[in-house]
Amino acid sequence: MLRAGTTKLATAAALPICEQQRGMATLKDISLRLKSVKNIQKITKSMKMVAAAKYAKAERDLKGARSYGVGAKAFFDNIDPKTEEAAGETKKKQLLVLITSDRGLCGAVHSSIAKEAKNILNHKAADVDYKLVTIGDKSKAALQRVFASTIALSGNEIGRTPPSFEDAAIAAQAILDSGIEFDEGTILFNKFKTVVSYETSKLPILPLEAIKAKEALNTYDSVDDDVLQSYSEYSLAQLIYYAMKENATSEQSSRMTAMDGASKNAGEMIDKLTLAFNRTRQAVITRELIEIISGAACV
Amino acid sequence: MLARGLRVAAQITKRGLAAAAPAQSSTDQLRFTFASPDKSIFNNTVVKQVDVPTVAGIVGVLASHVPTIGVLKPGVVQVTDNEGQVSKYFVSSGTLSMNIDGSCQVLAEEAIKLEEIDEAAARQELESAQRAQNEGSEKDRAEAGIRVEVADALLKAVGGGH
Repeated sequence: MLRAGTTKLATAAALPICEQQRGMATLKDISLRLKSVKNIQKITKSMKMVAAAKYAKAERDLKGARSYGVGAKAFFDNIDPKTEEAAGETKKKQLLVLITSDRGLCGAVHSSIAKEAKNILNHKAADVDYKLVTIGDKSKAALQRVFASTIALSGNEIGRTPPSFEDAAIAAQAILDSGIEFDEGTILFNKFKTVVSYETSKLPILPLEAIKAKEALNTYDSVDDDVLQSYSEYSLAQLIYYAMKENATSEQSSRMTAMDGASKNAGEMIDKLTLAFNRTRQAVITRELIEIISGAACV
Repeated sequence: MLARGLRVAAQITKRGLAAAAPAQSSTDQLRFTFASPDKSIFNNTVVKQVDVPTVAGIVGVLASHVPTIGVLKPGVVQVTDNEGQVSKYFVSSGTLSMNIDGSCQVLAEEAIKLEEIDEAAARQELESAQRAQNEGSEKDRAEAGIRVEVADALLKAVGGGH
């Protein structure tokens, strides 16, 4: 009896999640949990491998896309050198394009974008008007409750296949067609640094009128309105493409590490549960033996 | 020869000063970036001259070209690097920007080496695009017109002209 008592205490300590302190977790309960955690571990392992394969492809694509994106940015860097005045007056109408995807289980990738967006929206000056374009369901869901009125456009069906220039072109076209007026825009995305790290970054966008207003434009030769308009529209698509590519790579690497962590945690749980299972099984056998022996002793 | 010697000397001194003056525009080198969405052909490489087909005509860009921007027309981009090697690429559309800091970017939607163009496929594309030009809505006709232009330029490029 005393032995059964101590094993009961030991089991209760090994299963801290066991809410009911009175009944010992039965063999059946533990084996059910064990089975389900093992299944989950299989799922997270396979998700990790899929994410690793997708990450390898995305990183290869990113090499080409990076020089494309940096090239697209070069014109805007030249025409709008970031001086201290950039921190000063923020223009009245701002556009935020949030690049996320539809799929979760990828660590903090989507929540970091949503957090940055919330930060910007909460700390804005009173007369500045922000409009949001959410690409990917995750950012839409995150901002829906509090900032639903600022969301002008949203896109989904992102994340299943690697982003192509066509996707970016569709997004850029939608922004231009929707007639949203903005003086300045920012693309929020996660810039890929290494397999285990990414950085939430911003890309500036300038609409046509803002480009025309920049004095640096005068140094550019033979720029007529037609060319400038085509150029600015095309650049929007180029910048969105670059942001999508970087974000996709960050997402896949983040999913890989997240699923890896989940598999490890599941493995630890399986070990603990297996120990508890064995201890319980031995306790049950001991109890039966004791009952038999004490029963026989009565006879 | 002398000019090249002078240019090399200028490069060396500039490198020494680089730490002190970061945003210096290197006006005697053409830093060229040529990329398409899925691959990068030149990435900030120093080249001698680039000929780019734009809507305004073929623009020949050398070092210290005046800053300009342009929209690409389907045609052949010809790059002459510092050793005199010429490489030709067909581009379908895109943008050109020559910036104040001496860097030039040609960002094409699709870019392939001339040797890799399949002439038979291009001819087929031209024919089907010409057929499509006569039917459909205005937008379809405009799109077919673009296809005809690209296929035409492809065939011209393969044929050896610009």
